Amino acid sequence: MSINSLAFLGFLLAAVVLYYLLPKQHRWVILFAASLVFYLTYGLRAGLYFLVTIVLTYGFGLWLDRLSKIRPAGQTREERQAEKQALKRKKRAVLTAILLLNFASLLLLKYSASWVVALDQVFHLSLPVPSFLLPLGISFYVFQTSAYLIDVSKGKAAAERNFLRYALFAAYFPQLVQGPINRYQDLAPQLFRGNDFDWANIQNGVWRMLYGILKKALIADALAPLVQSVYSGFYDYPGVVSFLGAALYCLQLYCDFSGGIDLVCGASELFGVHMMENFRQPYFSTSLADFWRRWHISLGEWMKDYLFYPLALSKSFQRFSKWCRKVLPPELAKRATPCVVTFIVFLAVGVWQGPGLSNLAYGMWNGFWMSLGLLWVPKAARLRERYALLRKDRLMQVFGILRTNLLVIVGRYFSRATSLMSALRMLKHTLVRPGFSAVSAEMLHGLGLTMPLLIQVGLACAVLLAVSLAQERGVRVSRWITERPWGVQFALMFLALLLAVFCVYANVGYTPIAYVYENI
Amino acid sequence: MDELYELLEDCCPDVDFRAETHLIDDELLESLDIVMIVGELNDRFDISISADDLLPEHFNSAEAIWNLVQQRMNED
Repeated sequence: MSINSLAFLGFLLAAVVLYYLLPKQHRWVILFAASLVFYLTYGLRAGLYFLVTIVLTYGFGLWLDRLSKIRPAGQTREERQAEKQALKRKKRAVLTAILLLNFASLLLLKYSASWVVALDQVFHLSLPVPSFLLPLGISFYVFQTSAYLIDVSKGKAAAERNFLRYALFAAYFPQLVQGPINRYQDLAPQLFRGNDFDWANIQNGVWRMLYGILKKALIADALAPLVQSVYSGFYDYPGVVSFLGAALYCLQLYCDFSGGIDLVCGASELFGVHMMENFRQPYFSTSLADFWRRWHISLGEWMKDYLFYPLALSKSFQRFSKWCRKVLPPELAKRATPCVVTFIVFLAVGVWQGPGLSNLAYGMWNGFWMSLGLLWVPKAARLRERYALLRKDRLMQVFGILRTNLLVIVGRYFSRATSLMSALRMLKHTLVRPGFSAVSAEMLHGLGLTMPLLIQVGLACAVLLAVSLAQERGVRVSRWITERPWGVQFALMFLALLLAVFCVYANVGYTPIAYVYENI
Repeated sequence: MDELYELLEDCCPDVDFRAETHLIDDELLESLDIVMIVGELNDRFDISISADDLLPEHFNSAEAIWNLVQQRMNED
């Protein structure tokens, strides 16, 4: 059941009605049942795989919790210390085992086929290509359950003892398709407490869902065929069209991903469950580091807490830091570890995006600029002291936004291309044959950039820009609307519903497209 | 404490460590800065601050960082 379908809306409505009809202490059961039904609509096999993951992570969670609560009972201080160390080692072994199992299943199901094909191409081994079913949202729930297990092992969260409640946390249906990657400590209490009916939650939720539909249907899905034409046939057009295609892909991807997140966060809000925010106007970022704090926030936070910090402060990297201090100038030495680890983290982000060298190159592109940015900090501070022009905040802000978006657009050459070679050819084509003068209205029309599309996307983008600017100033738009007089609210709701019903759900010239991040 | 201020200002020249008390909450320090600062602290004071110590309350102000350093020095 796709979340941008009429069936999902009906399903959601039924779940919301049943949720508030039940006594508070049993309301979580409806969320569990709805999640089960939702997942099973994607097939029994995927459901069975997911069940195995849930059983395993539930069991290991309890085991880790039990180990965390054991107190050393030795007679002397030395005995207690030895016991403590033994317990620590055992806990680490148990955690490593389940994390390996969790991530091995992800690697096997998501990447093995591509790796076998790549090996075959290089060594001509005629290996059989494995064909696995890719369960819905596997990357998201593997990351979410892994974070839970790490937090339990560190004593930051207590393990859930009720199996069905744990299953609800892992499989809560609004987060299943494309995240966000929620933390147990934030999500679980909201799922289990049985939330009171609150009209404000319903209003905010409905507005947010409508905004998500607007982004997805009127912008992302409208641009998708055009972007596809550019990426698949860039040689037929001047190089500047490739750049335009990559820039439009940035817009498409943002509206697709964040639109989907708005839809599921709005749906979750109908039950009074507030999930983690995943976007904060990323294209207003003034640096690439700023962009990654605003884009796919839940993945960024996961990477920071469970990969970046543990790796950067590991014994190996502490030794590496010491070595750097001996051989490098002090300014460079102190930045060496964060730079190298940042690069590694972005390689992981690239791999997370999918198999293939182009995704790895996407990670390297981001890792390279992020690391360089860190090395540039002291130099930039000295330049600011010397040149007054660099101290003009507004000017530097505009320059920063333009520079960041340029880096992001070039990065999207890699993340959207079908192969690394294709991305490099497209980039070369952009630089070597820009052909500004060869671009004509007929050519753009032939690509699908027609006047009706321009008007539709232009109007929707005007709404997007107005909402984004308001959000950047800290205004919560859905709340702002609900504080208007009833007449204004009614008119806005009527317009939005008209748009949703006639442009989207009535299928008038619109075919919903699967979410880009649905198969990640 | 002066040694700490010098170390912090060396790592992040744009941050006013003497005035700010919400370095993490106001996003004045990024994860990259924190790792750099911890690396320097571990080296300068010969202590061991691990990933488990990276809580906002330990890094929101220079004073909080100093308390963490002293705590680790006493433990060692």
